[in-house]
Amino acid sequence: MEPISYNLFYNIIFTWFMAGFAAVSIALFYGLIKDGKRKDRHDQ
Amino acid sequence: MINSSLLSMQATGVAAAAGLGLLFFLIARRAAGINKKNDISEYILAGRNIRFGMIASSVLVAWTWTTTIMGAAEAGMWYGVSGGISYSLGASIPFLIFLPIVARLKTLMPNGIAYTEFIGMRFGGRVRDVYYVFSVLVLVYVFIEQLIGIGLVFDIIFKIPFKFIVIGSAVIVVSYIIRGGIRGLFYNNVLHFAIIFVSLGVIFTVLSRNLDAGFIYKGLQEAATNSADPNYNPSLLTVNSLAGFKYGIIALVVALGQVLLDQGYYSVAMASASKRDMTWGFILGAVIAWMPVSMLCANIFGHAAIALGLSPGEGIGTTTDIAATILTSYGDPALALIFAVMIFSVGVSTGGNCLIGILTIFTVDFYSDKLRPNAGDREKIKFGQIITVCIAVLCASIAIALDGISLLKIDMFSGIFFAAPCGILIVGVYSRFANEKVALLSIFLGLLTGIATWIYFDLSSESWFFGCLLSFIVPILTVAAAYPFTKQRFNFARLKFYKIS
Repeated sequence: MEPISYNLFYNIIFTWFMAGFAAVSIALFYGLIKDGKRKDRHDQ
Repeated sequence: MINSSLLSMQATGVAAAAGLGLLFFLIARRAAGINKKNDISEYILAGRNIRFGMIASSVLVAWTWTTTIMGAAEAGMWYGVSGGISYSLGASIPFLIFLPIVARLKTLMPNGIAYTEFIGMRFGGRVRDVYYVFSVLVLVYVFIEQLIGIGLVFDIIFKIPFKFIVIGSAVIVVSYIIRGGIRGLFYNNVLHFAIIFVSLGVIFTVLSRNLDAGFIYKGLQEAATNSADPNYNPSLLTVNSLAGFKYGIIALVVALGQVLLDQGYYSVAMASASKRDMTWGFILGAVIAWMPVSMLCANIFGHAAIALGLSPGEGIGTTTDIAATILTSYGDPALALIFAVMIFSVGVSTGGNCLIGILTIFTVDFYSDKLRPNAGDREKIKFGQIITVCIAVLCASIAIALDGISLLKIDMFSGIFFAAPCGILIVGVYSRFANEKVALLSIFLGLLTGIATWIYFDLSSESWFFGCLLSFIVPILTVAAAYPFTKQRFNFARLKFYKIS
């Protein structure tokens, strides 16, 4: 592995880590919004 | 004279653990308020209504063990670039095997919750008893590892006695799981997810500034070419090294046993609102979001340790100490505190998943199978809670007894031990052919060949590799060999009408 590709390898993993964090956070908010809407319908 | 700086350090650690513990309990209490009282489908399954975001965060924090941080670092140090990749692939692929199995179980047995119920229906009572033992042992083993991980880190960073923090952590986990049931677990896991990811993000960012990729690469190159280097390994910079590949296979077999026999993952899957929520939740949590965590730990801690010239006896006691040593040497005290809080959250969340597994088996299955078939929900929940508390006490006692003992041999043994029953579980879900006698014989032969290989070849890592493989493959081959001699064919349609007694 060359220095440039090791650097690239590290940056790709770190970006992947941040993207994973963002994806789970978005999934959590999406679930909250969906559950909230269902609760509103139920209350009406 | 009492050292005041030691006292303030210990007080910081105790305050952090106690404060978080109280928060976890309050969240569980709030979750318990949503549950209908004394209703198993609420207490154990959260009304089967959990969306994929919560499934993802739960699986992610449950699969991130204290040993994920330290184990991936060790893999990075031993095998270089291929170590982290092999570790993360080996530990993620089992979920891609688990998902179709649990989806089929949901279709075949819509009212089932514990996989031991399926085993009982599919193979009979004796095989079910064997799986009770395996499932409780895997959960006990994982929980003990978490308690030891938390205990070691708090001992190193805050100088808090190991026993004290092990008992405290066990009390915190058991109290919030008993109080809130699986809904308490899901709600708390959102908080664990935030703590773990924010902490990891901060730790990785700060450390990569102090130890940049160029410096780490130079160190790897030196260790790969200089035979006098304590970590000399010519394949450190090779992505597809044979040693790394072998390690990946071992990681896969070990992780497969830990996933397939852990009732906690089945409980999370059964609580999902739909198969789609379950599938995407597991893929997002256990594969997409989990893989870079272990790869980064291998890079930042494992590769940095090589670059810094650390090796057992030179700067570190064992390779397990890498992460804590690097953080205390190249971070600042605040970073060490963040690391300790993160390890606490990692251990508590995985421990919670284990206790939910134990709670499910003893509430849903064991009590009505062995003791009182017609018991009501309230009685079953009470029984499950009492057994869960007893097992948590047992785990804390064993963890304390294991203080100072290397976990490597226990890890090796557990890999071989838990691989043996996986084959029969997979065969039982997909095939009509194997029966009770074949199942018992194949598990026995798998264990025998696996352990015999490991012991015969001097308990080395090479024999571990072959022991794990044989323990997994021999049961499947036994089923195939017994095929011409078994006339019985299982009727899967029977499972559709299964109801918890």
